[in-house]
Amino acid sequence: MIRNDLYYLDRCLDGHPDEYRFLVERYQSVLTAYLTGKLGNRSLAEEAAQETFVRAYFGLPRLKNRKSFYSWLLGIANRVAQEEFRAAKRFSSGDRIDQQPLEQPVEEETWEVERAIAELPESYREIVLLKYYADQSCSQIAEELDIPIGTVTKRLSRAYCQLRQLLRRESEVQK
Amino acid sequence: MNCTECQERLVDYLEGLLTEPREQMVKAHLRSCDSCRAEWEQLQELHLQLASSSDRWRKTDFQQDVSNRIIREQHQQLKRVGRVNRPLEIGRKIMHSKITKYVTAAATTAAVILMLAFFHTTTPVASAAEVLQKAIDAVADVKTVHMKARMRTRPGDNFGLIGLEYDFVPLEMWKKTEPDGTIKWRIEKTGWKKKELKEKIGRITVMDGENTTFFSRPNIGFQIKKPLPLGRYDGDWSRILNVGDLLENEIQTAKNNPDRKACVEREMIDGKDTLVLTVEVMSKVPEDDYLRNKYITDSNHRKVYRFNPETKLLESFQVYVQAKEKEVLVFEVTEIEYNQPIPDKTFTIDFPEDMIWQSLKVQRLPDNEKYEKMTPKEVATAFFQACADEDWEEAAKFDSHNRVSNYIRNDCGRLEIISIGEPFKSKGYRGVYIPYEVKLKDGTVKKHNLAVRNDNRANRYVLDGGL
Repeated sequence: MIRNDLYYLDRCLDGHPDEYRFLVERYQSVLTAYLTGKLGNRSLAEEAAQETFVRAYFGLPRLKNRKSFYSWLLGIANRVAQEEFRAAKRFSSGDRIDQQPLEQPVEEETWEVERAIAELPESYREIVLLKYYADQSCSQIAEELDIPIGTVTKRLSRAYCQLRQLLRRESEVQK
Repeated sequence: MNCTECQERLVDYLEGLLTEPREQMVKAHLRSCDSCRAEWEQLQELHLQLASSSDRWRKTDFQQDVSNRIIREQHQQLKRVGRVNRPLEIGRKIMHSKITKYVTAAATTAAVILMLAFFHTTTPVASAAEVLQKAIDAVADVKTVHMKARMRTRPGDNFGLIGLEYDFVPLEMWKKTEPDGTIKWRIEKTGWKKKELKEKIGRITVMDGENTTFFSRPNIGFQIKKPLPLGRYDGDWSRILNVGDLLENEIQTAKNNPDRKACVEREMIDGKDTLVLTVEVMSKVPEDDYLRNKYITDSNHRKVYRFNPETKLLESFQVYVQAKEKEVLVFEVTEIEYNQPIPDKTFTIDFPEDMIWQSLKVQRLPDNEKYEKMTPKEVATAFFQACADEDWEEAAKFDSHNRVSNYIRNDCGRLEIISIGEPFKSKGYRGVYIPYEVKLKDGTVKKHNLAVRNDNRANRYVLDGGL
């Protein structure tokens, strides 16, 4: 039986913290894919996704609107990604530094789809991620985000439009 | 059914959400209309592309890792409040017991507050939100921004470094949105203009709509063939140029982060209603961390934005670092101009003739294996020994670009190693620091920390700063 986020959150806060694992299971691909799009590197993204889940876990008591767990989680992921950028480009202070930021370890994949998704406006992005990376149907998404199904398909339609442009731009840059 | 109606329903059609008669209408229209059919095919293609991309993520499975990390973290938090001093098993038990227990512990240790308050003195809350919205709307028309600022940093060092005891160094930045939406920007550390500095040092980063170029005076640079957003390789403060997103971003971030407080106040300044946004940020980096207070983001700090009562545009911005017993102004925007023409040459750089262009890639050495095996301490020792011997070929093997600058040759040649300490890490840096003390040939003793990192394709530690 598939339960919604609210159910697991209530269970977590009601003496069954180990049920948090169901939320991790639900969103681990979503977060890793999203963070890969943002950071351009899968192993960094996995690390950042784990960090996001850990922070979210300790932040649960402060989550005011438990219906918006998923959006809140993406917000934390954004913050972790920001910190990751900073840690990556940081070089120490010295009297005189000529050093430049270094490249990331090389990965064969270019993650162009994930990168494009990361560039979408938030309200489109969260739907695309749920649909494709958490395998949710439009009606499940509507229920999870507490919005009408018509809004889901409308946003999806606009998201597709923007994704096409982003992917086109990406392939032009690569040429 | 016309084309607009058809295209509006394509997603519902794809999802099988249409009623039978509607579905028939869409099908009929698609049969008769080339452009809608093309649209439909593109949509299907994208749908497939997304579905196949997402397939690659199905194997992601780190539930257990997350669980272990939570248990470890709980244990540490409890240890910090002095409740538990026993091995890890206790954490596991707690994880399965009432959440309230460790939640209380976590709350006391971290002492975090999530507060988003709209303060006001004379007006109701709703109108403070209104002023906020007006401020957001006002910047929609801004096409160019030019700012002058000052920061407590060093003229030749990287963009983000701060020091509470350093003097102010001037900064200047420009951002322009072209009619077609292309964005260009330039960030400059203009310390080199100071007369008392013998040589021209300082930094410039320019994004001209296509490429992002970094120039470190006097003659080193590199280019990334991509339009990078602000705040990636320059200091975080440069994001202030994104005046349009500032307010919203700050407030959204505050909502999502327990370690921030944002508050919007209305102040009467000279009888004028001014909007003041104050954001307080708690550092994630511990107080005893090496990087603490070396970058704005690694300090507890307070950001103060003021918006003009008439134009609703950002008028001033300050950052105060909250150190132990005092609050220090470290960054301040001193001048802002909106919608003044910015000449195109601003987004180009005049490079000197002896420019050295660097690649960001660390190359594998013929004898790379030997260097891969070295520990950070061995790397520091070998590097300084090479300097002592003036063996520049060897010293270059520890440089990310296989090059030893004249500065190092002049100053570090024939140095004497006094001591190399035990390496340590910082929460805010992916590399490692190694404390060192050396005696330079002019007799001065230098004591500092060498930074090295190996997150590169050659998998060996290279110097990243601290000389």
